[in-house]
Amino acid sequence: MTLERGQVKITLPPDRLLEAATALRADPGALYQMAICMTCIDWPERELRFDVVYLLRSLVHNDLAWLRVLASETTEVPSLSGLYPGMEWHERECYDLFGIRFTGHPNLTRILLPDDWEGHPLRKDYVSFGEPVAFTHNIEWALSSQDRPEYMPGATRGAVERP
Amino acid sequence: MAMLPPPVGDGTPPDLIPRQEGIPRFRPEGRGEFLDKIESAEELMEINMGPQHPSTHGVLRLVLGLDGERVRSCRADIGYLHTGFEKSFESHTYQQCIPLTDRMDYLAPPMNNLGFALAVEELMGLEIPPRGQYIRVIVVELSRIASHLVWLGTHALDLGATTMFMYCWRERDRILDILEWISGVRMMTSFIRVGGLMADVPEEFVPMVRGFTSDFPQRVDEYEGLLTSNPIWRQRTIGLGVISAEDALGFGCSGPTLRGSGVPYDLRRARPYSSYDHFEFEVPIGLNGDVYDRYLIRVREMRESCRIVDQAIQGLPGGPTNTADRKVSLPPRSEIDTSMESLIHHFKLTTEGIRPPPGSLYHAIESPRGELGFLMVSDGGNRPYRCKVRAPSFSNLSALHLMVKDELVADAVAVVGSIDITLGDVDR
Repeated sequence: MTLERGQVKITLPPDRLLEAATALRADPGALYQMAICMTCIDWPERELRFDVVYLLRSLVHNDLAWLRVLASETTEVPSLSGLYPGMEWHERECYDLFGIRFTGHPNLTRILLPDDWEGHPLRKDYVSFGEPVAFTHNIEWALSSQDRPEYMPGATRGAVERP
Repeated sequence: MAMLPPPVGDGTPPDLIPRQEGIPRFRPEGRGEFLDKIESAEELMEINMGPQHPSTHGVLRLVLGLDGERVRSCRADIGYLHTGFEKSFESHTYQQCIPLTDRMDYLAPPMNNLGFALAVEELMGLEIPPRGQYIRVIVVELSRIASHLVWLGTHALDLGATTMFMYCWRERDRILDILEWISGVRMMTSFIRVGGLMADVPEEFVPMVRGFTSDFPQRVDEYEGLLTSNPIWRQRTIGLGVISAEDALGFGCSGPTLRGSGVPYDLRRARPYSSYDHFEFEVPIGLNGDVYDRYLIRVREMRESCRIVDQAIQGLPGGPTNTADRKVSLPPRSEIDTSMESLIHHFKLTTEGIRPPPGSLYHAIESPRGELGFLMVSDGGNRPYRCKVRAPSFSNLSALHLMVKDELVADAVAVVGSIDITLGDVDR
C-alpha cells in the first residue's frame, strides 16, 4: 500500500481482490461506493506483466483509491461486476484490449472490437504500424506487406519497408 | 440514501414548477436486477435500433427485445467508432496527443484538451498562471454550453420539437465564432495545451464573450418558455427513464445522469481544478432521476456556466498564460533571437517534447457528460507509457438497459437522448 500524489494505491494478490473491494465498499470509514473505471497497464519485461487497476471513489470522504492486481497472461482475475455492475463493460473492454480473463463475469466477450479480431491491441507487443493501403500503383507491395512487424522492446511503433 | 454526501450548493431541486397531477408515473418493481431473466424468453421480438439511426446521435446499435410496444430488454452494441486513441497516444509525444483528444468527445473538444493537459501537468507538478487558468475556465464553460445546446436541440428534435433545434444552433454558432476567433478553428480547437494555452486571447475576446453572456440568459428563458412547462414535453419526459441513485452509483454514472437521481456530485465542486474554487455557482440536482429532471439540470447548468464565464471575464487577471518552465512551454519568439538557452529549449521542445517524471496518476474533470478522467502512466519518456481515458458516456450508456426497461419503444429515443452520449466518447 503506497500513497502517491494523494492517491492511495493498494497492491493485492488476485484472490484477495473481491474481499478487499467488498470491505472497502461497506466500511463506514471508506465507503468506496463508486467504481470509476478499471484498466490495465502492460509491462512486457516483467513476468507478471499486467497491472490490473480498479479505481474506486468514495463520495462521502471525497477520496480515490487504486486497487492493483499483478497478473500474468494466464492469471484469472476475479470480476468485480457483481459488486459494481458498471464494471461489467469496463472488464469487457479490458479483456478486449488486453486479454485479461475475469472469473465470474457474466458475459466476457469483446466490446469495442469485432468478435473475430485477432490479438489484444493495447498490449505493448501488439505493434501498431502504418498498415499499407492498396492502390493500383502499389498493389503488389501493399498486399505483401500487411503482416504486423515484430515487437522491438522500447519502440512505440513498427515500420513497414517502403519500396 | 443515508450514505450519500451532504448536498452542495443550495440543494434546491430544479423542479421549480409543481408537477401536474394525473400524469402516470411508471415505477416498476425489480429495477436494478442486473441480468434480466426475461431476456431469454422466446416471445420477445428482437429489433435493431441503429447502427444508422438519427436519434442514436452517432453510430450506436441497440438490440431491443420488444413485448408488443414495451421494451423488455436492451443490449447496446458499441465500438463502431473505435479509433484506438489510447494506442495512438503511446506513439505520440504529449503535445501531439492534444489534437487526438479533441476527437474523442467531439461536442466539447476543449474539455478533453483540459483533462489531458491537467493530468500531464499534475504529473509534472506544474502550476499554470492565473490568467491561463481563467481563460481555460472560460473556454471550457463556453464549450459546456455549446455541448448542452447541441444536446437540447437534438433531444427536442427527437421528441418532435423541431424549432428548438434551430434556436440552439443559433446560440452555439456564437460560441463557435468565439472559439474560431481565439484559436482559428471552430470545433477541434486544440487551444488548451500542456503548460498553458496555444496563445493568449486577442483583445476582441472579452467584448465577444461579454456580448454572449449578456444575451444568453434571455435565450435560455426562451428555451424554457418553449419546453419546461409545455404539456406535451412534460407528458413525454416526466416519469420516464428513471434510474435510482443506488443504480446510478453502481453503474458509475456521472454528470447530469447521476445528479438527476439526486446525488450532488460535481467534480468542479468536489475536487476543484483550474481555479474553479474562485467562482460561485450552484450544482443543480434532481429528485426523481427521470428524463425531465435531467433536462432541467442541463438547462440550469447552462445558466450556471454562463454565471461562471461572467465571473471569470470580470476577474480576468493580467500576466502570462503559460507556465514559465522552459522544459514545457515554448519560449517567446523574441527571446529566440537573443538567447542561446531559449533557442536550445525551442529546439528540444519541438523535436523531443516534454518528459514528465516516471509515475502514474488519475485526474478527472467534469465534462458536460460527467467525469472525464485520464489515467496517465509515464516511464520518464517523451510519450505517455499508457493513457487510459475514463469516458463519461461509456459508463452512462452501460446503465441504459435499466432506464429503458418496460418503457414504450418510442420513449427509448427520449431516454437515449436524455443521457447525452457522444459515440466518439463511448468508443474512443
